[in-house]
Amino acid sequence: MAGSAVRHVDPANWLRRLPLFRAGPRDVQPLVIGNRRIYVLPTGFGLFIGFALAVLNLGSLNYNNNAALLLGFLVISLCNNALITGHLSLLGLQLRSQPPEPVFAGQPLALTVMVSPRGTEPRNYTLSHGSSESAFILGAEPMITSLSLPTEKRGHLHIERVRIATLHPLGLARAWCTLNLQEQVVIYPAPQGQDLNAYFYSAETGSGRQSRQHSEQPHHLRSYRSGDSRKQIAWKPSARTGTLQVREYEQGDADAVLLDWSSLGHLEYEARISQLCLWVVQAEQRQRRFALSIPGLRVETGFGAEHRRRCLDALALLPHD
Amino acid sequence: MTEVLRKSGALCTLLALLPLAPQLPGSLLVLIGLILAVAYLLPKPHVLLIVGVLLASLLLLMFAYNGRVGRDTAAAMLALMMALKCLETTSMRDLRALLGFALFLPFSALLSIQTPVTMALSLLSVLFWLLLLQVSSTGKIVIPEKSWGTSMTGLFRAMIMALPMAAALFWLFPRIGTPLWGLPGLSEQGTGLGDSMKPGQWLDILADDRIAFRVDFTGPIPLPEQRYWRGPVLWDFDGMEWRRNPQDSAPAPDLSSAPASAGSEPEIRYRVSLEPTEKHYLPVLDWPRQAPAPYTLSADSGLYSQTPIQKMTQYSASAWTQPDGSRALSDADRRRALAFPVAFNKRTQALALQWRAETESDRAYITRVLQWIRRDFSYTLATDPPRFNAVDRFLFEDRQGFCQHFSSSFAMLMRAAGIPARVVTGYVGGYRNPYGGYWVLYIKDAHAWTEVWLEGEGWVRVDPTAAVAPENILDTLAGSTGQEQYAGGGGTFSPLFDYGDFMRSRWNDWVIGFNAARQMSLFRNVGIAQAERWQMLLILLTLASLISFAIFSLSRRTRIKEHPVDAAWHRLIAVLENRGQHKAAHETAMDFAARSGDSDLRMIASRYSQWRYGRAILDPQDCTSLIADIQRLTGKIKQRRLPASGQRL
Repeated sequence: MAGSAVRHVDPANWLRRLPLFRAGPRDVQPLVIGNRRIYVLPTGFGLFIGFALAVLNLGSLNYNNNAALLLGFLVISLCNNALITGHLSLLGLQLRSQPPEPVFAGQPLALTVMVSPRGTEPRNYTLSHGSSESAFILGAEPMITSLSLPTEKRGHLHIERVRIATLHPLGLARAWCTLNLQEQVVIYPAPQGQDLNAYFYSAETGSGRQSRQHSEQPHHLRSYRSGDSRKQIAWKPSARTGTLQVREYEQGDADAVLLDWSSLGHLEYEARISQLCLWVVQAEQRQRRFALSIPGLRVETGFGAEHRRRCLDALALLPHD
Repeated sequence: MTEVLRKSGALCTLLALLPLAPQLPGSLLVLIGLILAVAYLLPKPHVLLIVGVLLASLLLLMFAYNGRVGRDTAAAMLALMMALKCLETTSMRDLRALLGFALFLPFSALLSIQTPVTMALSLLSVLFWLLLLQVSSTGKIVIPEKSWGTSMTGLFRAMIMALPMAAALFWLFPRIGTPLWGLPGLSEQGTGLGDSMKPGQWLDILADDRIAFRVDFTGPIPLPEQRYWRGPVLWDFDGMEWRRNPQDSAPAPDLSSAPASAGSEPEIRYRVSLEPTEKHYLPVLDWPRQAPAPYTLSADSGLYSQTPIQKMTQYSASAWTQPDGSRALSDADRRRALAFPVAFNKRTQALALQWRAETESDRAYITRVLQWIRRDFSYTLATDPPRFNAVDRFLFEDRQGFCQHFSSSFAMLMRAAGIPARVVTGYVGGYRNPYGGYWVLYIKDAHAWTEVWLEGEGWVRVDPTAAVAPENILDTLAGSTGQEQYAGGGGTFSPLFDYGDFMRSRWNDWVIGFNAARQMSLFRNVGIAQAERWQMLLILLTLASLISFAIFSLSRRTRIKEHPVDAAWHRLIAVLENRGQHKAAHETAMDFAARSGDSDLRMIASRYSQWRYGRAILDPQDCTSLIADIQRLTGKIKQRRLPASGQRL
């Protein structure tokens, strides 16, 4: 399936396909960065300085100008030691990632990584994946840093690995290590379209509608939970008890809505998915029981976070056009 | 941000300029200082203004160097361009370009002057260069929180750690025996003796305190009257000025064969460290026997180099104490050594002819002239500028002057009397450094004397200036009369200067004088008779890798620590092991805890597994509480009595 919905544009993509550069299986976490995981290569600026040094030393060699040669060789060995220092500043770091929470397409996906230092010297690091980067200074304490990845399309987002890199100490070379994640995140469709209430509870049009016969009879009161709509608050009982009380309605199958794929024939393929997604979100927010019917799958009436997740997953993983 | 960038750029340039500054003309330094101050204090000026400043500065540059172009002009141009680049620095890219080009400034300074002072200034500017690289390493300027002192200490440490590798590269990197391309010359003529001499012209030279060369005698130190260092020999006299032809410096084909008559004479062996002169001649002690490679001896016994001496040069040579008497003077040379313009100096000509007629031999004639000089002449540096009939005026009117006047007039007297004569310029005397035991000759030790051709004896040196009676020396400069006078002697600080010069000469020997030949002998000393380039590179690479590895291992120091939670857990397992509860390697934490039947342990194991293998990150507080709980359990288990029996799991 076309699950790899969001892939960053990478100029060196062909390079990744070589066995040497392919991301390995998921690392056991926390990953303690060892010698064999660290790569050091010069930056563009480093190449420029290297070129300048090569020219200078060639000139000094030609004139057998020993003072200049000594200086040149000193700078060269300083740069060489800087490569070692760069390597050492990654060695022994501990990396741990958190599985990212699913998001709707278009929203940034937060990938959280905890980095624990080995030494106490503050160092600059960057965590990166594709074109997204997050720079941080790691002191003596572990640091939780979050990388925000752009999402464009619904479906599976495959995060092969993230890279932690440092330009320490001179900015001439970049030392990096990759943390293989092989993380599969579901990106939900972008919720778009008509409001749930406007569609189901207004004038009598369309086939998928359910009437609203039940709603005036509160079943019981319960205390307020975050996420409850303000309309549900029973103000009078709240004033009496001193805590916010919320009306909970009798929710039989009778008042459940069916979010039906086939009722949206007037919409485009992706627009239908977005519309259904919006309704799932709104139904859950408004504590409506709902069922979802899409091609090849029917999720029976239910409610709650798990139900919502199942419906959104199903919508997200519908085949692409 | 831009402001910080501009300040950093200006500082970077200022510090990179340090080693070059002593070589730049004052006016240019002031200009560069002004430009840098503007770059430091003000935002980027309009482009037209920058172009205007550029044009004005170029004009000043041409003016400062009198419109001539050379190595020094190029270095000044580079410094100027760096300063102007600071003026228009607004981005990180500009700053990085500046940082790259900043490296060229110390190198261009060292190209001309390789003294320890220039080197120290270069090291200082490299130190600041590193600091700027460090501060801008992340792509923007991040001022470190720690104090500058700590930063500098860190940089010093980095420098010291770089030294072993730098030394390995320096000694082992294959050198080029012969240069692939030449060094551009200076825009000005260098110091030292020229190819011509006019009486009274040397006042600047005789006041120049700089060192011309240093000499180490490997054998016994020759007597003062033997320490005449030959420079250019001047053949042609036009009545006022003495000159030599460029062809005179050409290598003489037949001089390499050792003279038979001088075979038993003791030789003087010595080693010279010559400061750059931008000239072709190299001073040698009278009388040179063989030319040290790659230099050649000319027909008039001068040592010459194909290329001008542009850097500190070291060479070993040996000398005979007597001239080669077996050689004959060719007719062409005789004619040249007797020629003089008949129209000038009539009185001198008449006197010479008269005195030669009155004496029975050339030697007697020479003695008579020297006696006259001793009786009637005095030495002074206060002389009038040269005029027509300069020899007549000197001999019959002024009767005072310095070596130029004496040698010039004496040679004229000889030629007029029919004795072939020529003027030799060079250095005489010198100052012995008490620390190194070597001799230092300053530029002010320059001297001119004469050589006369006596049949059967060859070219004999006669120094008419030395004939001046000591009581007739009115004012003097050390060494210029051939007498031993210590230029550096006296003064409270002279030991300090002597020691400084000693260090300088060691620097010359060990660092500046190192070349392909000495590199070869270095390899010979460790048993590699003929080291190929690739072998050197192989040895160098091996050594460099070893050094890098040593630095890596030393810097790593601490082992990679176990995570505190892991450490606490492993300690708990170890304590349980002591109590007889063995956790098998294949067992998971949860399985082990379930088997033990201890509910506390089960709880802890579950939390540990959650932390270790779960996908959620515990925040630091949770970690701390987990560690505390594990440790509490460990303490509890420790307090339990050892099981009497049978509880072994």
